[in-house]
Amino acid sequence: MRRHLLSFTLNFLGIALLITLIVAPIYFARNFAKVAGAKSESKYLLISQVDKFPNMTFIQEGDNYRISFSKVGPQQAYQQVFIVNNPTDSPQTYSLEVTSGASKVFFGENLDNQLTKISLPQSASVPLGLFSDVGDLEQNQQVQFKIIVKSE
Amino acid sequence: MITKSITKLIDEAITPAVTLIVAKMLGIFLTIYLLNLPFTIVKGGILYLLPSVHFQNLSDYIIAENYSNLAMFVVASLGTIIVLIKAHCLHESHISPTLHAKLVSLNLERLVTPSYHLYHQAAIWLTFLWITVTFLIISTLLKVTYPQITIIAAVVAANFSWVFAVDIEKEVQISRET
Repeated sequence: MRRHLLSFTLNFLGIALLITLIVAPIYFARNFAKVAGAKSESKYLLISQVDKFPNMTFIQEGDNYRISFSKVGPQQAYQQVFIVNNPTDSPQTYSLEVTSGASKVFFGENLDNQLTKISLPQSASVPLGLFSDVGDLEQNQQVQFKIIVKSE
Repeated sequence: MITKSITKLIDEAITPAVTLIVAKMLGIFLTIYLLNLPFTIVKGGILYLLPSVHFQNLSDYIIAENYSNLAMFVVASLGTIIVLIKAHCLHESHISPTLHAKLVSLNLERLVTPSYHLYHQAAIWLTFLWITVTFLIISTLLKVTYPQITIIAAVVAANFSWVFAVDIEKEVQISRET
């Protein structure tokens, strides 16, 4: 009985070793070369340009992005604070959802048409801007937002 | 206590597995060298242990992947061709007497291969060949490998399998006659 059990275990391990040997080159072939910086599971890349703006700070907590800045005039806009890139090989629809703060976050550079939803073709990018309106009087502004992805 | 066949298959699988890995690596590095592609080597890219090659953009990655996949397939095909030549010309059960006599006179009798050794070797090389074709098909569906390479690979693999099946048929016929 013990001999049979040992024989079964050794044969099982033998087959596992054989499968590993057969699969190893394919696993290696699949993973040996990659594109730098792009992860296949990532549906978007958010490139920060915050350091170009004085007195602006950016904090990321998971999928939540928080920006703090000081207001210097009654109405002000910051353009190209971020760049959103679609690294996938299919078109993606991105929506912006402000979870806290009075300032607005929008796609593009057109202040008269502040888009909160955009469809991006594969490998395309779009700038992301910030807008603080007249009614918002707080000097220290903070806005927290999320980017929601919907595959087409 | 491991079945003799499993031990034999493991023994036969080591060389092709290593050869395919080396072919993939050489394919990547030769493409980088000949086409002057910018790249970086990242530590722990494979299973947190082995390094991997990172390309700066998608088009360079696709070029390197295509050439290295082709190199891998060519090596898998060459291995299979050698086994098929052995099966048809140097197979112990049906080697031509003239050739056998010539090999003996040249002290090359070790080239004559028995069925047991040959069929294990063929099973392994054909498995590697078809697994490479499957990998190429998946890679083509992911828009990395050019479809031309995959189509040629599938046709070559199918033909090699057919050539091997012909040898098995011959072997079965011989065993029926004896």
